[in-house]
Amino acid sequence: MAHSTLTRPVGAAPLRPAKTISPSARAWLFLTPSMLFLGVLIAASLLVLRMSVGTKGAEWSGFSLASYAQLLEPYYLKSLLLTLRLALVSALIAVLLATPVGYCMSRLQSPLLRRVFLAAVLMPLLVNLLLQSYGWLVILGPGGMLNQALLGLGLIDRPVMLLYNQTGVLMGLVQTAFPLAVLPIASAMRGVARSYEEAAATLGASRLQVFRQVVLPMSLPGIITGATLVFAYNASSFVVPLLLGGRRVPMLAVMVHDQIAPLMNWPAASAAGVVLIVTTLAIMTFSEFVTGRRRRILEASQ
Amino acid sequence: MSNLLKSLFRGAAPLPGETGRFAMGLSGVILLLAVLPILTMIVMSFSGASNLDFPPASYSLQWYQAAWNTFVSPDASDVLSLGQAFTTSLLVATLSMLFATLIAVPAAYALVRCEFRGKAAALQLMSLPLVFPMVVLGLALLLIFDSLPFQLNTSRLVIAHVILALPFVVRNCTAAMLSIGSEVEEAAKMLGASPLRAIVDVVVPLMRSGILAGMLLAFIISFNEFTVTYFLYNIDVMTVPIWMYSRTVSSLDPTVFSFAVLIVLIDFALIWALEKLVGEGGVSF
Amino acid sequence: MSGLVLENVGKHYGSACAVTDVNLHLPEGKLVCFLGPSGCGKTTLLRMIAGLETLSDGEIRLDGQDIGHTPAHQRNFGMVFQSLALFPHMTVGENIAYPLRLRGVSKVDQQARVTELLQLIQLQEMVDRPVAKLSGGQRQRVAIARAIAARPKLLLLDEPLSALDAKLRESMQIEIRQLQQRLNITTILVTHDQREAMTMADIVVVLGEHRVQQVGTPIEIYRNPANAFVADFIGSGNIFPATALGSGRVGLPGGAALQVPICESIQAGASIKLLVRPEDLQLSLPQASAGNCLPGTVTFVRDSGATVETTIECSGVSLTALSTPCQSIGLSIGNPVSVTIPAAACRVLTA
Repeated sequence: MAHSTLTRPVGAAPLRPAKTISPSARAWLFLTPSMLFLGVLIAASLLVLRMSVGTKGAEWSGFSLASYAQLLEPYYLKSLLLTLRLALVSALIAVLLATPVGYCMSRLQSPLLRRVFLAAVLMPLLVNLLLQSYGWLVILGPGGMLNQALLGLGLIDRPVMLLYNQTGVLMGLVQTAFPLAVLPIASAMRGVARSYEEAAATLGASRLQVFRQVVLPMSLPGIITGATLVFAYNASSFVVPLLLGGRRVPMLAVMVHDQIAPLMNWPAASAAGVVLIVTTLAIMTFSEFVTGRRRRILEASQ
Repeated sequence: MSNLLKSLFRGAAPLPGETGRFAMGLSGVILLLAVLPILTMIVMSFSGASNLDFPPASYSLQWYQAAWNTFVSPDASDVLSLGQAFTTSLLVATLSMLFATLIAVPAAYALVRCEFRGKAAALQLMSLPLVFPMVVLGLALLLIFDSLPFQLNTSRLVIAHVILALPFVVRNCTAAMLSIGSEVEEAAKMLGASPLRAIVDVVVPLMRSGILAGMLLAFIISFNEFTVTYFLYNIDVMTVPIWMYSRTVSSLDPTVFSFAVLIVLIDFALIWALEKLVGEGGVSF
Repeated sequence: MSGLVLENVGKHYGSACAVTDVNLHLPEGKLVCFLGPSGCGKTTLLRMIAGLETLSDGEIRLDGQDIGHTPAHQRNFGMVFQSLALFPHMTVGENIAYPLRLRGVSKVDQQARVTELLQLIQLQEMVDRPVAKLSGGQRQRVAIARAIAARPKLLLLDEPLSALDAKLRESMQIEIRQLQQRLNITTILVTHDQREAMTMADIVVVLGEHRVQQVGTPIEIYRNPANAFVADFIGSGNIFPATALGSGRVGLPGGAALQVPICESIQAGASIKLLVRPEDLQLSLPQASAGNCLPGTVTFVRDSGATVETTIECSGVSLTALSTPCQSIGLSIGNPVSVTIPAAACRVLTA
């Protein structure tokens, strides 16, 4: 029998004795290195919180709510409202633009086109914001592309000021945060199976109706996530208002920096920072709540 | 013949679930607008004029020439040469990429494979840097680093960049983990591999493309980071974006455009490679 | 006691019970089949034997040694998974050599063993192929070769053939059975396919409702099901309610009576269930009812070519009879017919 050796025991295999470690402990062991880095983030936010109730000159020992009271002064309040308004409007515009793009990305067949689309979406997000702002300076400047185009079309008869005001900042905000809206929308729409669209079409829905009544409602969680991400990202935007707004569009993040760099007022900067954190976390939690409920409804019906 | 003409003019109506011509056209225009600032900057770098009017009156390579001169013989007035900034940027990006990946791989494994107390909280925490205001992060890290009894230079940037890149790397590794069934790992154990050995021999090689995508993403993020770095840089450690900002803070110098084109080219190459790695599923964010 | 012994083995997830009270003795060199519907706990049981699940209760012993808490990688059992779990980043040869590499076997010996195994599964020329380039049946064989490469004490097969198409599955069943007999390796096969169990097993363990229902040879299980669950799950059978009438007779719901081999302990008036296999029913043209021959009406005929399945309404129960085409008497729906139910073919099941 040629194979009679096959089941002969292989002998004592050199296997080390088991170290007994509970699965939960192992999981946390694996998470420890990343938690250390995230711990720095948490510690940093707590530090900012502490600093925000300090007083200028006695940042660590003093206690006063003066910095927060200062935020209620008209100048700072206006800055807060401006920030929220620009973030909201940019989120709405970004979602409006991102929806058709996300739909196309989720339905593209050609691999090359898909890669080109994805590259075009990722570039504004990943390429250094500073470089993109340079591009905007050229587009929005008095002799820039947009003014030339508007003059050429006869819509205006002398160059309009687009730089260093809210219009320019808004355009910059929409463009740089736009990918954050596209990605979740595209992934949500990829989750809507083609068979739903086919079912709707056989029931007599036109293409627009299919999109509006089937695809859009089913991908609503992705759309909300996209809008929230853009809002949160732009509420704390720094580079765009710094470069495209000059000093004339004082968004909150720029104020935080100004409090440090020329003014050395750490508590005031920290208080403004705390407001930014709270705004961001509040909007994220709200969105989680809304999309979570919506997703549960959708899942329950499938 | 007439059929051919008809199909040329009208085309077959798209089937349900296919993208129509209108949607494609609209998306194309929107995406063009999204990359317009980058395209504009590339065109401007070839400008022969010395103002920022668009389109440029003439084209030349003068700004590339000027940029090259800056690179090889830095002005005495520059506090830091571009070459040094470039080296710092590469160093910081490489270190951030390595650290972020090394810590993200085990984290992704734990998040996908293990059930444990506090998992939901750990997941939330992992995506916190994504939404955390960058200005506050910069401010807070500045507070921490300045209160330390010793001075950190390169490492302060690396720590910041690892935090910023971590969610992206973890997500890519997690997506890769999810596509690996638990059975291959169990098979390795049945064949005699200890749990750790099974991870090293089987899980990590199968996660390869996800890990590489995460690494690339981490590199791109670190290489392009401006906001947090702007709070943390000092004379000794300055990255390319900060160097460019310091040059243009008073007036826009078109030599910067030619550097910018170089950086965009690097970014584009990295993004293109990233997409190739991730393939069908799209990049995970 | 040699072989594998399971004593009071059970697994709970919180309050949910996957499998409970399993007591088994698996003799050496046999192929034992865990058979049951999905969700009966058969895979959980196999995974506990493999060491991939912890035991909630009980003990597992191999040749007298308690292995219930030995980690999977130290048990030296071979396992073939449902998905096969071949490593896609390794070639065929590397896959098979992997367990040997882990045990520090020298390169030369690894090579020799891989060649030996590839000869056994007749895939010698595939040694450097990536596993993705293999057909379904070839992958199957590689998975088995890998599982037995380190000469395991036990071979565990978790529905390994479920991904194959019907024809290939049948030939693989025979191939695996022959290999197992030649190597004389104790093997446990998990399956929900009773044909597979009948073809391959020495011993069948029927699992259902989270516990062992019956243990026996395939024929015992088929001929003498221990209870209604096994009778229903194994093969197709006519199972219908009846009432004991005493002196070996039972009454059908429609009033007719049958002579059956009924246990003396069952009292007259008790409700019971009867099992009759379709192939045991004999159909004939209408004749006077006598003994176990009852009149009925045809309600459905399914002629699948190889066999004819006739459904008959008879004394308040619906019976299905299976006959070969040449036995068939050309019945169609609505025809009257006589059904003979041989007393020896009836099994009385307690509900």
